[in-house]
Amino acid sequence: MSEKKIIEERSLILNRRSFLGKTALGVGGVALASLLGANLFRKDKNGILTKDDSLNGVKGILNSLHHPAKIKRVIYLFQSGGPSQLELFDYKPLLNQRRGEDLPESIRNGQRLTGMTAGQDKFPLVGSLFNFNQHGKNGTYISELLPYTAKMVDELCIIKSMYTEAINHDPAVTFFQTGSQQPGRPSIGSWLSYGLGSENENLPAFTVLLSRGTGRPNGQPLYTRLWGNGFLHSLHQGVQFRAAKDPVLYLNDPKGITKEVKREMLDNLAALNDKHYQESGDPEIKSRIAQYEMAYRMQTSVPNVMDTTKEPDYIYEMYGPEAKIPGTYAANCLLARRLAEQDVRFIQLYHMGWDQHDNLPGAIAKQAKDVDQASAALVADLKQRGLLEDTLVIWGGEFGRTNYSQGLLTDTSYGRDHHPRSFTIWMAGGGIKPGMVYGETDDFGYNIVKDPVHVHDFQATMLHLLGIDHEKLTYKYQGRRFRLTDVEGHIVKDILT
Amino acid sequence: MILQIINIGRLHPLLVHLPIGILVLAFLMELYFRKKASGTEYKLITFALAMAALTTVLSVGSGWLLGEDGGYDETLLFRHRWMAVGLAIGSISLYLIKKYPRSWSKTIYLPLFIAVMGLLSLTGHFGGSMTHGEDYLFNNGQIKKPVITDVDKALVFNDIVKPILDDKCVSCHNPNKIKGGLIMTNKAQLLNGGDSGSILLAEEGELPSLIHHIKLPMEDEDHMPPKGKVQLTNHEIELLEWWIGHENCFDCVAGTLDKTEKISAILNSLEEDTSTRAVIAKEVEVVPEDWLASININGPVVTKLAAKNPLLIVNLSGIKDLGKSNLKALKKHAENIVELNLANSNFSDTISSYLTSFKNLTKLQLQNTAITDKSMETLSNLKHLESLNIYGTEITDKGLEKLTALSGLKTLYPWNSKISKEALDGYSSKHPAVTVVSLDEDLFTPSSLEPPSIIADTDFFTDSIEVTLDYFFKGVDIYYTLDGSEPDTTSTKYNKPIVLNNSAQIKAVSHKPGWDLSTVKTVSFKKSNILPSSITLNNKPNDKYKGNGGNTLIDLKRGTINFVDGNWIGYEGSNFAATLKLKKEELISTVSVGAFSSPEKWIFFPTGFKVWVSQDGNNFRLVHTEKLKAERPNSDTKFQFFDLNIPPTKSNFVKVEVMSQLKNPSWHPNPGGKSWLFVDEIVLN
Repeated sequence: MSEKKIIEERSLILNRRSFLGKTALGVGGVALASLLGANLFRKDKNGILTKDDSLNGVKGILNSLHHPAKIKRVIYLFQSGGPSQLELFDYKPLLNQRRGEDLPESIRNGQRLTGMTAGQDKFPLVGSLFNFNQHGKNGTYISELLPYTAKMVDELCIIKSMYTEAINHDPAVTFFQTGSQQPGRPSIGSWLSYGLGSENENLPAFTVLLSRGTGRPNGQPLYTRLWGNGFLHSLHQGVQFRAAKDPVLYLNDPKGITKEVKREMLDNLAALNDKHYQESGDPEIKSRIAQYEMAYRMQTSVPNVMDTTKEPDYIYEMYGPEAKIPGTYAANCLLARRLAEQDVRFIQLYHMGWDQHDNLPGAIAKQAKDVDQASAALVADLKQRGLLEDTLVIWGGEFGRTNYSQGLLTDTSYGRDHHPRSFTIWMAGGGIKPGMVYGETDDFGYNIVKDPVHVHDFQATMLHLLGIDHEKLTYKYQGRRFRLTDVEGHIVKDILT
Repeated sequence: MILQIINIGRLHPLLVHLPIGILVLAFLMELYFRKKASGTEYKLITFALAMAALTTVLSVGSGWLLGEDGGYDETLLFRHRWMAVGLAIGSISLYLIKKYPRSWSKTIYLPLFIAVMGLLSLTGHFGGSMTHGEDYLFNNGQIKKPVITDVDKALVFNDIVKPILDDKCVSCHNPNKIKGGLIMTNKAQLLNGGDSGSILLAEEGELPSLIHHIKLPMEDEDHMPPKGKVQLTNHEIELLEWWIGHENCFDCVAGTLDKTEKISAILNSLEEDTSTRAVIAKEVEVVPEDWLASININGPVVTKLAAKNPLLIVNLSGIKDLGKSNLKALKKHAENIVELNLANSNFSDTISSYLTSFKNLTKLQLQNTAITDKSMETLSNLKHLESLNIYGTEITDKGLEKLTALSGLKTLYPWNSKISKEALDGYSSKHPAVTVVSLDEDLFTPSSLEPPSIIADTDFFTDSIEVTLDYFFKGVDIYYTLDGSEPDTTSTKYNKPIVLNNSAQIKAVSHKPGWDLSTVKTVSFKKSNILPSSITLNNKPNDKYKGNGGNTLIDLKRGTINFVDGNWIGYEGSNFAATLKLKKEELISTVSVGAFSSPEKWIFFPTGFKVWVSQDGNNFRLVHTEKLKAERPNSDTKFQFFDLNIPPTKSNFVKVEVMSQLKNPSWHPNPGGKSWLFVDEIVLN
């Protein structure tokens, strides 16, 4: 038996043994075995299989894409709480004309209500207090609350016919992020990390940035499981970058540990781990070594990417003055661009505070001001850098808001409850038709009358743009193959270039 | 009994495979045992032949019945049927000859066996042709679609409709297998329709039966194609409807028929992919996986565009120790590389000549590298280049001139390079097909001026304080007043930080020529030179918002907008009262009380104040009473100092009472609910 053959055999045996061992212990190990099986042993230039010592970052399960991709990365500007489409994008003058009239049952059609308005005996229609003007080449109506977004309208594809199945925040956000209303499934970014791996070995493939809105500063909280890996390996979970001295928790060395000491410690640890690996062949050990190394590299890469002080003034002028204040939405948008430049595959922003049940006009004005300039600036900035060509930017929340007032309707104030049947999001970037409005709601802004887009359709379309067939990126768990789009999802071809 | 339930004819597909297997086995055994035949082998072969004869007869019988059902091509059926009969006779003969040998048996047996095997192959082939179609065996699985180069010139039926029918319908509706009496292979047969009449014509208000069957729900037995077969896509259905809608025109050209936007889009998607990348993909060979693995040994650099696609993407962005070797390593398959990303790397003129190998590049990213005009000469050889990014480079107008050689260029990213605006404009007008990506300079100019920011470390001070005014946008002047009057362009112009030595209210506006004046921003700064030594709260604050007790009010730390920060004292549905003890007797003329309001959170400004003074801490004298109007409907979160001017009095003790409105007003979403009063800092002057 030649030496080459011995190595080859050994690698197979070790992999199989550890694979079986892991299966007995738990399904999680299987993922890793399959994850690493593909690239743990590779042929070198002379065709000899070698143990891969450079297992950097995370490698995806897909050897190659299902079809050529239009985009390489996604920036998802999630507007948590359910922004009112009726004050921002979906212009419905009829609601102003029929202000105060009861919502006709023929329109509501038995739609279930939340506990917050189910007790109301009247559902008075209410139109937007804010004006809409036409913008861009196609004369698209945009609210005066979004002056900067309006300027970029020729770059955006506005989908007015989104609908979801959930009616409360947590299930609805979970549905958008994981394809299921029940917690426990991996979120979009985790699926992408699992499928495609990381492009940049110094940064995680899936990063998360949070900000609180001024519209409702103490609004709905978010849960870390929204960027969780579900049943996928924990390598794929989103890494939250915080606006603080330690952007990534537990990354920095304890006091008194120098860079040299740390390096030496990691080298010795790796040698020990490697010895263990030679004996047991458990690929998890390799993965652990890789994670230590990734964390070590992130000690330099993360502060670099978070350090926005060298950004020139005109960039701050674009994103707005708030971009200088860490932790704001504007600052996060700027960071999102910096992460995109570093080939981070999925950049997830959450901006909280859109849940305006009462006092909507005052609150949404502030909330819109939080996000308007920076969102538009992000699209423009990506464009001038040539990144918009292969980046998808998404702006949208988990559901919309009702066309009737929750609580008392006064001349200056009203509220709106959750509305899953129709709402608006926008997308911009590679593979998406710019300057387009897709879908339509009825004159009451309540039901979709043209081209409905379900959450799973949205997810399928996003994966399609990334070069992934949403039916083929699956993971077997508890006896069935799971995927992001569950058992549904149709690609919205009409909005693709 | 069971025979009544099962249609015997339908057992044919099962039975036919038995004689095939058994005959082949018997033939092989005959050949194998030929030289050393003994009694056992003889018996074995005889038994196999007996079984072959029996199953052949059963197959022929069941097949005969199945053939009676109809729906098959007559010629094929005739051939299959009678060959099978011949096969049955042949296999019975073989058995008889083997079992009862005669003198002539030896000469006839083997030739007959070979003939039977030939007959078996032919019978099987015709049978297969009937069920799977005649070209099943020789077709590689892909039906060749006609290539459409210009969809406007395409024949609607021949180029668009017929391929759909061929793909999804014809396998059951062809001359060999005429399900429902319908053949869909040509114009005449389509017009003939099937057993239930025309499939293309329909009564007013009804769907033609072709569309009707396609649109039936999947569960319906009459749904076409039947459940389990490959279904029509939505686009295909729309194309069929469009065709039938134009009187199922057989000779029309697509360009002449009117179409909706959607149909146009679908039609365009049928056109052959003539994009540069598709053309390159046809010319180059697939790269071996070995090579990919070896080049990616230190992490992914080269990736395939997609599975089964020979094209490659190379990402070398951000690499700071890039050298010749990195590019040389790619040379072997440089033709396959259509996208090269060198952004933010140390790529420079010294190694840029290596780019000539990558002659099929359609996208090249050189942004933020040290390349100069020198490298642009090399680029002019990249004939397929469609997208070029040179933002943040030192490239000048000279470099841009060299790019005019790139005839296929579609997008250019020149932002932040050294190319002048005039040169870019000139280039754009000469090359209208190229999108030169740039942003309108005024795009992010604010639509209205905002008031300036007034920035200081704190708004209390005991000695003096420095205040900075700032406005983000360039070209803006700031004007301010300190005396409470409204500022305008005649007020003091801000040019250096303001130093305050006394309490003051800064009011500031932003101004830019040609713009409206901004709204006024007001911030009060309090000098506090009388520090109380202690404070006693006369009633207890709410447990959740008790801060550090009374000391919270005199610690010179003002509460922020975040009212749970521990710097506020909160009262639910009750007034506030406190007594301050001074260090020594002081002359007091103002008592300032800070309060918070956020109606959304049920917090409101006070409705009134009372101030008492005392020398000894026992006998207090009421010196000031003030009533305020209740807040008007609003939802703003805000902070304000209420300055209470009292007749200047020398005293050792000051008592302050702050009146709450106690209940939410009628305009509040929760009228009548217990409202809150939040107080922080009481400042004496």
